[in-house]
Amino acid sequence: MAFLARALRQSNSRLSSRCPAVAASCRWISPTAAAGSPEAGAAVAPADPELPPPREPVGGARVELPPNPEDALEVFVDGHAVRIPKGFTVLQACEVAGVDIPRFCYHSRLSIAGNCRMCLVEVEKSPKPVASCAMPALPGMKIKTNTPVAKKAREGVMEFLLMNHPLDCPICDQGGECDLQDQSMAFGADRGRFTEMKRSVVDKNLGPLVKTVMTRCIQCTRCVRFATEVAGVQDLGMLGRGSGEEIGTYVEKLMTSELSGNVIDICPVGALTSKPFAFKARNWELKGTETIDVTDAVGSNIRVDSRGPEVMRIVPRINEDINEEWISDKTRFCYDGLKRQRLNDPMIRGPDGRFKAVTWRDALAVVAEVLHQVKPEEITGVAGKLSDAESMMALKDFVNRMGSDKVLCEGNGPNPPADLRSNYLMNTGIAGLEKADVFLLVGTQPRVEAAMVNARIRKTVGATQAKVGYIGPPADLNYDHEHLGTGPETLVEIAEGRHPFCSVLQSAKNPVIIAGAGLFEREDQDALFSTIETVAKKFNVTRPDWNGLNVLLLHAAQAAALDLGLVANPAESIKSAKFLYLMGADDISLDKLPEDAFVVYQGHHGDKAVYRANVILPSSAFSEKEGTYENTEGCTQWTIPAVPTVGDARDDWKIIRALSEVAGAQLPYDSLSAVRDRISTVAPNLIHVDEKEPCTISAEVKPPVKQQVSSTPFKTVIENFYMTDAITRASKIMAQCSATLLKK
Amino acid sequence: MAFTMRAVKVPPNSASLEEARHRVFDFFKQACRSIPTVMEIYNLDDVVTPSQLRSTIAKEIRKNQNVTNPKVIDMLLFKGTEELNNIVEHAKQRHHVIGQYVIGQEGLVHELGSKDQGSSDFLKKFYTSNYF
Amino acid sequence: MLPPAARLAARRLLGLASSSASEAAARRLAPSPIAASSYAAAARGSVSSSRPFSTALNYHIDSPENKPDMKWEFSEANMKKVKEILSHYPSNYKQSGIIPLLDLAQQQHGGWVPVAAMDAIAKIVEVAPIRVYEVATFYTMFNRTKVGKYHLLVCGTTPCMIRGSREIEETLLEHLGVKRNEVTSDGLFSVGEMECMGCCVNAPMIAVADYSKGSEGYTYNYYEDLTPKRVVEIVEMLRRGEIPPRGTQHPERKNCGPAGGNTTLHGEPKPPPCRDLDAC
Repeated sequence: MAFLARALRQSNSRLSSRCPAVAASCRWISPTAAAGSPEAGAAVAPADPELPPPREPVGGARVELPPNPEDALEVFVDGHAVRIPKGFTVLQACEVAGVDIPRFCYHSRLSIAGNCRMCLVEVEKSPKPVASCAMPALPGMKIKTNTPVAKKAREGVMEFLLMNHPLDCPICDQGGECDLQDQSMAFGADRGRFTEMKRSVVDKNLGPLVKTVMTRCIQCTRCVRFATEVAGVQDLGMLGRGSGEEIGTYVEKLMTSELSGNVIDICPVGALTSKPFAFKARNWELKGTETIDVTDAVGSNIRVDSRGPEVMRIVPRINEDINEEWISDKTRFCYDGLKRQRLNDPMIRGPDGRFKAVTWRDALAVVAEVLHQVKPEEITGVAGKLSDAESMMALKDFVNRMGSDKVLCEGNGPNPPADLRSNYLMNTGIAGLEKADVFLLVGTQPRVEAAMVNARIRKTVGATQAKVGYIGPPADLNYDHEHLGTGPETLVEIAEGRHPFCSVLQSAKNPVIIAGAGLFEREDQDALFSTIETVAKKFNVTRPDWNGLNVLLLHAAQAAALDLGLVANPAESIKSAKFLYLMGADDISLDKLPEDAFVVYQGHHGDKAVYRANVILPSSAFSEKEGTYENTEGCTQWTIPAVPTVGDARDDWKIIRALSEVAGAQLPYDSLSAVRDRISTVAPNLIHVDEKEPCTISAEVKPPVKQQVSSTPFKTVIENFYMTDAITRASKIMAQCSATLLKK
Repeated sequence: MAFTMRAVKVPPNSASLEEARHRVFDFFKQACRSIPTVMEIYNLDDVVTPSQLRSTIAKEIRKNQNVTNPKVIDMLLFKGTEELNNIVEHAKQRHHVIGQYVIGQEGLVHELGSKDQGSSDFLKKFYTSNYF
Repeated sequence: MLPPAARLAARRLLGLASSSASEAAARRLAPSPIAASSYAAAARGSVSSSRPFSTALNYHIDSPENKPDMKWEFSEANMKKVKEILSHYPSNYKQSGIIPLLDLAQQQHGGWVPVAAMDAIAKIVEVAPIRVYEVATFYTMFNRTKVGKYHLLVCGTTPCMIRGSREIEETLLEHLGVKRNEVTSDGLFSVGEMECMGCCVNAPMIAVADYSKGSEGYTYNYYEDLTPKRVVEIVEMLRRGEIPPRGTQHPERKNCGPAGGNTTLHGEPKPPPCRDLDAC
């Protein structure tokens, strides 16, 4: 016995001398009174070896204490003191202290409901456990989250929730990522006592995107609050009462909101799940790749979940500046277009008009041969909506080396305003829109053009009662707005001060003007923008500390194209082209193209332009390549490849580099980093990833414009929200959505 | 039967480079002696001549001429012997033999062309695959 | 709401002829008490499936008389009442008036609130229609499906039950030839169950919601101390258009006093003791 004790003592001392961290975290049973008492913990916390060192806030979050010291208060969570801003709830205080309290109905971006009761914690001097999500933290409160009272409360709540919950785990899509499963394992009891009949609820039809199994609903009302507050459509409600409560729309109504897919993420159980993803995969089989969405110009951060070579689903990532935690339905459900209509082999159109698959050698040889037969000024390159900056750089370099300067990107209009960056970016920034108090929307329908920008405007309007004036065709915006007019005359009236909305603009502290990129296509574009700038100057929209003049772009490639200088005039370039290189460009009008022009189509889907092409070169889609995209506010982001390329497809810039070599005008870069070095000589902001470079030169340096505005009213730029580019047009889910969900 | 005799004959290790060298030559002679059998088994009379096959074998052996470690040479010899045994005992099929020893050595590519002479590394890799 | 399979299983277990199992229509979810009646009390106690939940559905089913695109408005007289009701509440909280407006609409429409009426109320009160639907489904006295001109509500809580309210209900249902919450073919009567209405001393009782005379003539009368024979008589009187005497139907009782007159409370009640207020 003695030698055992001696051995233990020796090993202990060795242990403590070797690894002091281990010794500090070992609990030594000692009869000191200081152990475990909150005062000792608060006073001595860092140095006291009895208690573990204070924990970091949950998720590594940063806590911003307000500058005024009176607005911060101190509470004690499990004995540790934390300083929190005034107005924080007990749950948020515990998050700062590093304690993650279980919850179902509380969501940090929605209003507080307090109906699940899972967040109950014990607060000293309170007779009952307290719903921490709703209780404001008072100074000096002593919060205890792991006492028997709190634990019993959690077990009890979990038992009640599981009472009427069906035994669906094997067939439920949320299994593996289900809050109820996780919290029941962590905080629930090991057995239940319910022996009665469980209730069941009729499933509701919410559309082709959201699958509902309402029996699994735990009535947390997160979806109701999301639909009311964030999406702006008040369609869902809690009907009935007691155990017969049902979430539904009462009358048969589909969820037509463009943010409806986000309720799938929000629902903590498997009541609302993704219909296209139903029964396809379990979440542990999927590999998540953090990348960027390219279906619109917002550049929402997404995570592409893939299993092998197939993209199974797309879920959002948190990015406070751009998309918070939401993505639009188009972003979420376009992935099945990546599996249909894909080009996987280089093809040449034979003399009988049919395509034949050939090898890359042959295809590139044919293209190079034709290139040498046409005159330099007859060569035109067109970049598509989904092109990344590297491929646009390569295209421009190549076409320039062949002697032509006709490179353009579709959607930028006849005279792209590429001189000043502030002329084509959202200068306020998407997050900066929250500080605005008056919005003037000119010729843009943000709900269909950039759903996340619309959500941000709605958030501002809801929070601060900001006023919104809208000029354009009648549109259904999901916030209160004043429809000022339909055409440029209204804009001119505002510029001259004659319109009643001027008084609103005058009294605004942070006015914001958002012009749509649809205005680029008009002939009176210069005059329009000069009028907009007059309005901006008149109402103090652009100041040194606040630039409220914004342009909302439509496609993912536009901003980078304008930065890199793809600014040719589409009408002239197409008319005079004998060799047309379409890099994913499907929406450019080819009416004026000469009959004998040789068209090369390099893209990933067999969309519209393929029908006119003579040679097809397959390239990779956004989920398969590493590309740089700049969003409408000028923030550069990278896509990361999630799945391998289809068939014999290659990356866009590699194809152009190989073509340049075969054609004799070899481009000087061989690797992605070399391309990026080249980009940095042209547009260095495209190298600084995840950063927004503010525009330094204001619009005042522009010369005055003689042109007059025309009286054509503004038209809707996007007719069908769900089908805007090659990927969405190939997607079956998007087709179902546009058949059932479009507002007629 | 011929296989088992051959398998037993090979001693485990060569003592020196000289011995390894001799064993290589022995192997070459052995392989050349089995060429007529091979041509008969796989009906290669219309496809290739014995001298072509001999040069192919010689080329293969010459590929490793810079190896100096006797143990490595032994290992290569073992593999060569194994391959030879497989061919002689008809464990391979005609298309294997033709593809590996008659047509060009880049694998089963039809063009042995010199089209790639002037192209850069980038282009060569581009033609093979997207990932490089 | 019960899963149909569970109900069916329970019924088979009891060996009951399940006539209501064949009703696939979603309208009736509560098990009909007729089928279970004769095996009633003992069996019912043991099987929880006969516990009736709220009898109406929490979602809307279109029918020819109840469609969202139907036009519905408050009548002229009722619009005045609407304005008067809304004046009770602050102008930015008009939605506080949803409950009285729903009640008014129910009286105007003959005892039930169609979806179009709820939409009209939503427009008056300036909220989204779903908020009105939420309120209407919460309260069980808002009938969202058609009821008869005389909606007969039988109290089914314990004091009435032990005095025989189940027999009253069966009698009514058999006499009218309908099931619970179903309307008779002439549209005059429907029978529903109600919670305790406070007449436990005069149990069993029914309440008759009289929608036959529009919102001005709306009455809600209790008929207490019933026997199965008397309740049939009352129904026939209503059918003929007469108004039966309300209150206790026992000939010898007066209000809630016992038969044969009160045995206590003969005189004026003594005032409560109070100190002499003028003294100081």
